Amino acid sequence: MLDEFKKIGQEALDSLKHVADAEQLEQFRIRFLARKGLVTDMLSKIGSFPAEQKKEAGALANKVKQEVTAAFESLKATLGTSSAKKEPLEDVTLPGVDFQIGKSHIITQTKNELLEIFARMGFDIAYGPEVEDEWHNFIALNIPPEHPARDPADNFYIDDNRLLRSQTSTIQIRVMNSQKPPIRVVAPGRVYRPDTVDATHMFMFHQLEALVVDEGVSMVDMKSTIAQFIAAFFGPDIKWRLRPSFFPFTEPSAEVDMLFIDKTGGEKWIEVGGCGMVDPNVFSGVGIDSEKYTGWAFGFGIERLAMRKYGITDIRLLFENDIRFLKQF
Amino acid sequence: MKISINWLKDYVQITQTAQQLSAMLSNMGFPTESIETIGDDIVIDLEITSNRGDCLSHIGIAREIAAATGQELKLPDVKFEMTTKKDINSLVAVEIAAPQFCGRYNARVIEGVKVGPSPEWMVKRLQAVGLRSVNNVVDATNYAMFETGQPPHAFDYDKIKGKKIIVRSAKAGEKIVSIDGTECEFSPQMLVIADAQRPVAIAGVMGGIETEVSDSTVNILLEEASFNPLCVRGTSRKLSLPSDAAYRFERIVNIENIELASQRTAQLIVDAAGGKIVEGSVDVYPGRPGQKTVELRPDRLNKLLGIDVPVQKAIDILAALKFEPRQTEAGKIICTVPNWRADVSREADLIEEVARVYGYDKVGVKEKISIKIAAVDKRQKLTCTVSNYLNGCGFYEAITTTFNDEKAARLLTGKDAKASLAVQDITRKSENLLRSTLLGSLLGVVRTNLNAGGKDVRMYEIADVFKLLDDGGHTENTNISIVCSSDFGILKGAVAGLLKSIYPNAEIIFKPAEAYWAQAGAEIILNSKPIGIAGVMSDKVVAGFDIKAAKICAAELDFDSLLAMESAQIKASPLPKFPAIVRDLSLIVDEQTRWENLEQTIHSKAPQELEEIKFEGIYRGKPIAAGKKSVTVSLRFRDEDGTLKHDIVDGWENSIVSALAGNVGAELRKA
Repeated sequence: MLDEFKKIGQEALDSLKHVADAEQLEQFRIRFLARKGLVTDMLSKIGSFPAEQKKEAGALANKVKQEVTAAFESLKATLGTSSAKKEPLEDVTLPGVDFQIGKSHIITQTKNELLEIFARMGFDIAYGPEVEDEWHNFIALNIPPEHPARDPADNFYIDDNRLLRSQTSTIQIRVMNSQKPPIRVVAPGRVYRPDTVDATHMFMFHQLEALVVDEGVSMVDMKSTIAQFIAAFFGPDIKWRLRPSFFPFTEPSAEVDMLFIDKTGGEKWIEVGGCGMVDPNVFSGVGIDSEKYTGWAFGFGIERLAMRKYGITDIRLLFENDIRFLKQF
Repeated sequence: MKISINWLKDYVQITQTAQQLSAMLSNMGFPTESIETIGDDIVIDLEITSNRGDCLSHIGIAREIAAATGQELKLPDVKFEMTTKKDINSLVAVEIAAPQFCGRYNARVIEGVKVGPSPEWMVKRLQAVGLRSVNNVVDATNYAMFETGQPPHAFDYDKIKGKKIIVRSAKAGEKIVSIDGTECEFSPQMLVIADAQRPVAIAGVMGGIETEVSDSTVNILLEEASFNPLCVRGTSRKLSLPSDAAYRFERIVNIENIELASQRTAQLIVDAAGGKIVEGSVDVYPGRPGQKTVELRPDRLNKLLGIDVPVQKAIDILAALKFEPRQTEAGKIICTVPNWRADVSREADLIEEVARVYGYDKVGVKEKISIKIAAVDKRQKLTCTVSNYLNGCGFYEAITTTFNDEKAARLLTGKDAKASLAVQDITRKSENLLRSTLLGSLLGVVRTNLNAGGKDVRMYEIADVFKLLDDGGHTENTNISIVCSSDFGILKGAVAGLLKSIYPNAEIIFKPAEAYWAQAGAEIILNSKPIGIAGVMSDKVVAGFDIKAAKICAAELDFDSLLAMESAQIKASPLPKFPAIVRDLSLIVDEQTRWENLEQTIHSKAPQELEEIKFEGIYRGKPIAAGKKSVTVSLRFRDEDGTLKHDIVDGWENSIVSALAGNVGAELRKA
């Protein structure tokens, strides 16, 4: 009988070696360690031994049970605790959960990118109101009453003195009125011009204006900053140029043109912004000595830059706010 | 402005191709809109900036080309025979009654013309620049305008009453039919050309049909004048009557060249239509400008441009542009501004002249090391914080236009259009109010997205709103608006979470309050300061915006107030050392009982070991009686200094339950 005990113990340890998963381990447990298992059953047989053998048989049975249980527990730990049903194999090709997060508007994203580029160049941010007075929107910007830009048909006038600003250059005036040079600011904001809405025109859009005023600031500084800005936003290989133009608040004035290549390989210079050296009349209006200080300003449309960069061909999409469009960016 | 290359060749030699010419002009500030081949001619459509009225003609552009290529401009020879028999002063008298609007008026008479078709060469050139041939006299005046940039007008002399031209302000109620058949009624700010009896032309804009040159015309009264740009623009816009002449007067014509331009026009008329030119002209010239002399300091030029332009080069450029530069011993360059350059009066203007001809491409680029660190901008930072949080909660940012219509204003504020700031623009007849709330625009966006098949649409916008004050003044303030087509809990969770993320230790209360647009509204109070409103949109508003969803929730916060508040520094709390005991209570209460009633009662009886009161859910329906609801609250107790015992927590729980029963009539739901 004692040999039988040893045999059961050996059989149990041997069969445990062939247990490869939780399911087989459970079968093992049922065969040997469950209430009616072979090992447990062994213990119940001790009572049938003659009295003088009981002690020896009990010791052996307990030893076998301990060995088998220890081996079982050890294997159970390595196979994992789950003795429950086996999980089916994960299908890793199933789609993940579509987390419903929102997004900032592409105009905001573009504005943030532009502000960050200028912040890296040391520019502070400046703001101004959207409802402006004639002084900030025109007079201080050297736009005389006879200038076409003042035409009521080209502006959203509220009354004789107030209007929705037609350009963020108004913020230049506010900054120069409140700060002394050196000045280095960028000013983002909404601007308004009555325009018939079509794929490229909207009566409201966003501009970003940069202004630098200090002693010894020259057109080279302006061109260098624009060069860095364009390289940072569009990449280093883009071709661009300054082309003489006219703005009442800068002299000399220039348009910034960038060379775009269409699908057929055709080259086209596209206007992306206006710039120039701050006009002495503007300086005198805000009490800055134009003999001592010089400055430059650069303004451009945020929508236009975003549309170019992301291949958006209809400006109206930007203002419809259809989530199917907004979520693309 | 369309420019014919063949026509240009009358005044300068053109050796370049059209593309080369276009590139050269673009670099000088005259970019090309298009290049078109018309027969044996090439026409370049140039964009002329509003300061360069002198370039709205072939001679003007030829002058720029001559300057850039080092040629002398060949101006047309003005030579013609005059009949000397008559005294011009006996044929016409000119009176300028409004000299502030008319600096010069020149009248000339041509007798015996034969009105008919124009010579082919003239028709061809006019067609090239986009003009339709009318008759030889009108064509000659148009030709002259496109040659010199000075718009003449030819009247049928015999239809001018009283042999008299009066330049005067219009009288209220006066009328004219212009040559294009438009009936125009004048207002007193407008300037007219009148004869002894009535207006015969809209000064600087268009002639009248009664005195126009027709097949029966024999004698011509030729006008060549200068009118105030603002006056011409105002008139042309008010009458909705744009014209090539008005376009040029708005951009200032060369007042000094008027006599010569008149002679040239007369010569073209005679060439095209025959006739004899009466000697002399009646030339009234009250507005003669002085000659402008401007100094340029070469060191200033180089300082502003940041490059070294050789002084001789600057002088050569200015000489080519006819500024007659001469250098003083001190090194300054003195220039006399040519009379066609009304846009140049200061040193900065001369610097631009030199720079644009020298070439902006010669201005270099250099890398400088920036030594200034820009401060973090609080407004921009807060904007990003708000966006990031709301984006994380599933809200998309919308950017909508600033205008509202009266219907939206009424639905959201209960006030009519007069209560809002409004723009006068005629293109915005209905949507002309500057919005005082962003909610209307966002409701439109929610509708768009629901109609596109969206569900649980969540949107926000950060933008300025405007309020009209009683004294007519206004305020402008930045708001954050948040709208969703889902449960109020989502909106409130987003708003409260957003505020917590900005002000980590703040006390945030949604205090039930009336909001015009809400059927259930709340005032949002942050550290006892009201900073916005939230609520469930009323059915009337939802229907008014044509939204088909059952429930729209919205909030509007004052961004500027949030910006003005100091955000407290986050202080870390240690993690608890001892376990908590959690007790869930399902309380049956009346439908009217608010969460805040339960919360306040629990707080009133709670020991300091009550760590959290958490709302778990609401159940309505069987077996709960109608008019009642079951609210499940989870209470978490913890002792920071030791392990809690269940019998102690039982005591706390019992006293809370009996307080709830006493204060709000809450009945514990049996499982």
